[in-house]
Amino acid sequence: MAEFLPTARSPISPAPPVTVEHGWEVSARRGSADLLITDCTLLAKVHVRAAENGTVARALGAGFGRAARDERGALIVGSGPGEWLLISPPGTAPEVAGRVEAAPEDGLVSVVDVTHGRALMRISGAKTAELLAKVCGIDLSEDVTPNGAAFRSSVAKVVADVVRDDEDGVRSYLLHCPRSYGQYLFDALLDAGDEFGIEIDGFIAPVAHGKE
Amino acid sequence: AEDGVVLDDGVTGRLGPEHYLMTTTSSGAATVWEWIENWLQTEHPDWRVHVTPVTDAYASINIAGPKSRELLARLAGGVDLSNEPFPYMSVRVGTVAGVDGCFMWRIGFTGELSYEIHVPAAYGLYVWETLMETGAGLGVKPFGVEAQRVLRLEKGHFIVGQDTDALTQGYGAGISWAIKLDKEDFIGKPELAWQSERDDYPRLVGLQPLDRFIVPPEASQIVEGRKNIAGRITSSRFSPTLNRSICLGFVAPHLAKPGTNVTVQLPDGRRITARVMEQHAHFDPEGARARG
Repeated sequence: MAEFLPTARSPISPAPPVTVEHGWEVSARRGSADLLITDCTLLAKVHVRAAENGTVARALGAGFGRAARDERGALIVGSGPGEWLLISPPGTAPEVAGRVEAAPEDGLVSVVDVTHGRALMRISGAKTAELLAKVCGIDLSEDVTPNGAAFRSSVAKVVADVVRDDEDGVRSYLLHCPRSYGQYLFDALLDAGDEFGIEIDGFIAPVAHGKE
Repeated sequence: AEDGVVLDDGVTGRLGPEHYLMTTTSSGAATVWEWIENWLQTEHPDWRVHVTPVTDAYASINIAGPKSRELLARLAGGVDLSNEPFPYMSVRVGTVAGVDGCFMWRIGFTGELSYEIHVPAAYGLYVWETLMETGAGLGVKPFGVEAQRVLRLEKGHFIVGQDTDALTQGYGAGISWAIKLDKEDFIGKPELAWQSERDDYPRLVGLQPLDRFIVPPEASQIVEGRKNIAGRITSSRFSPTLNRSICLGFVAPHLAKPGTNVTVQLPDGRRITARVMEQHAHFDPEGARARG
């Protein structure tokens, strides 16, 4: 059989220049503004459902409405009662799913790779809360949604999951939505951030720079 | 649904002892998910079942026609595509153009030898382009919704919501083959059992105008006498395969017998005659092309 070199594409068109990382077309643009948006769709995303208080829940460690990193650097997001999304470096979905499936559990556990089904983007910078407040009605104050908070809400009229995941003390949010809405949500955030000088920053592999 | 009405149209594949992949119509996906969750959470909360929507996670491509197997064979890995190990109405998991985790369904709406392949969505464009490039020597061409609509009508595949409405129960749609009243229980059984004992409901039938070159507009009324409405045309196209017009439509039960001539009133006021056919399919009713 012929040699195949599959190329994966995010639903969000990459801003030029375009390169290929981990088999995905990504933007290689470097933004320098105080407010940045990055398409992170190529990150592995694994959806887990299990009993809220079972062994898998305890092993994952993040309760409903909270997000935390595990010892391997994967972000565990408690996205709903008995529901989690595990976000990890590109290409690691089988490994992450395998770890959950191998964990002992006395109830029903389902593990589904939704890497391709969700568009994922990150906004970073001091003005992120002001940007989000224009498109999302959730209280983004420190008291209500501190670092590590996770919620599902309407963002620019799309049902989206939002995770506050500050980086090096800089306020930062991950947002994900069904793939079909990815380009729309990305454009809506760009539009909302225009008054704050938002720029597109291309994806940087976490191993190289410690940033997702 | 619980009222015996045809809710949606799709194929479900069993991927493992306790693992199923259900497909629906595009517009019905969210409705079907909610309907299943409603039944799970309200009627069977004790059942250990998780339903995860994966609609956005896969790009779906239909390869149809006599050379579809030959084309897919050039790109598929891990699956024997020949007819016996991979018959009509089955599903396999393998690679397509080097992409892992692809579902290959031997199903189709066109009535041709056909594969629907579902690839992880981010690879959709890559697989499409690879299919087009690989199939160039086989004469592969994209086909759109209109071509699909003609093909499916030739084969008598009805469209839920066009050839059925919110009152169309199973027997009225002509799917008695799919209704197993000998099962202990299923959603809609009481209503369908009652329907099976009655004869007073409209029937979806195949129709062919006697004048082969008249294509009645969809929604043309079927009439009796001067002003009685006895049905309507639900789908209508000119078939290049048969070189004539073909239709599906609802008729009153007393007009549903094959061979019956019915009167169709066109929007311009003309009335034409159409004949009720033996079955919904106008072409290849045995499905020989799809099963080959």
